[in-house]
Amino acid sequence: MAELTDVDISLAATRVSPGGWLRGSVVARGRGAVQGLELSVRWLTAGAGSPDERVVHLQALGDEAADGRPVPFEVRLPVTPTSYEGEYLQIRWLVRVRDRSDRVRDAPFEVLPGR
Amino acid sequence: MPRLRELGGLGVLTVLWNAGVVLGVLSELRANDVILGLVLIPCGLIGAALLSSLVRHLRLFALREPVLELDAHPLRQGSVHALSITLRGPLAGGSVTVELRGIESTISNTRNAPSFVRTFFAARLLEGEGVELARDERWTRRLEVAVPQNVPSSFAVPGSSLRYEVVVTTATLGLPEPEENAYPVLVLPLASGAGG
Repeated sequence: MAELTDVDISLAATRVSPGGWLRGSVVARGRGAVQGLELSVRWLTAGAGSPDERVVHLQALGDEAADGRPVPFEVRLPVTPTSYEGEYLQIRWLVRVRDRSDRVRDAPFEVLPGR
Repeated sequence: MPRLRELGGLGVLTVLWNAGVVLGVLSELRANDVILGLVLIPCGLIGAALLSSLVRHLRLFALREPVLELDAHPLRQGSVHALSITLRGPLAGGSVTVELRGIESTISNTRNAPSFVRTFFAARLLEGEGVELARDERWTRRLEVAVPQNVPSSFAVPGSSLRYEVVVTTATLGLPEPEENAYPVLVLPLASGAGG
């Protein structure tokens, strides 16, 4: 997948509690540079096993984002899974913005208890 | 715990094998054949090993599986939980160890790719406590388990898993290997309503 360099994702915090709120905004650089933006929050596994991926939230960002205005988002995260960096298994969370041409921009964050 | 079918299979095999050996020995006594005598020695040793294995399985079969009780399930990260272990006799020269284990495992769908299992977390709750029990006598021990906040939550997808289990290991006099009983438990985060 090609990288979507015309979009910035900013997160209010890069560490979120399980079951907490993930807040942030998406802004496109340059008016009309991107079309049909879609935001997803997902986790994926990496490591020795077969990779797995689940989308926990999906929304279309509409024309507002394409106009260069910041579009805020707020997503209530599930309680599990929590982020994990093991020897053979890693569980990673990220916010992904995709455009109509299937270019993507990722913003990783952690889901960990204690905050 | 050895299953009844496994025990039955081993019993039948031991009886048939040793019956063959006995018949061979009787025949050897009559014929005094050197080659038959040489063949009978390893066969006799195998028969003795089968007999010893059968005795071990019979002793294991007499052991009763421990009963595990938890004050709450699933367990929560950063919480202390009470658990109790109950054993029922007979148990001679027993030694009981209780542990909470976290196991990371991966399965690869790709041909020839290896799968992995490793213990990423282990907390010893009871270390080698001596227990002697007569038949039907009960032994109960209440323990506390503190689940650290920084351990990962239980997780399972087709390619990988993070699972926890309480493992009760009972070493019994006369048995070469301790008997392990594993009880799967879930570990989940304390749900937070606060913003991140």
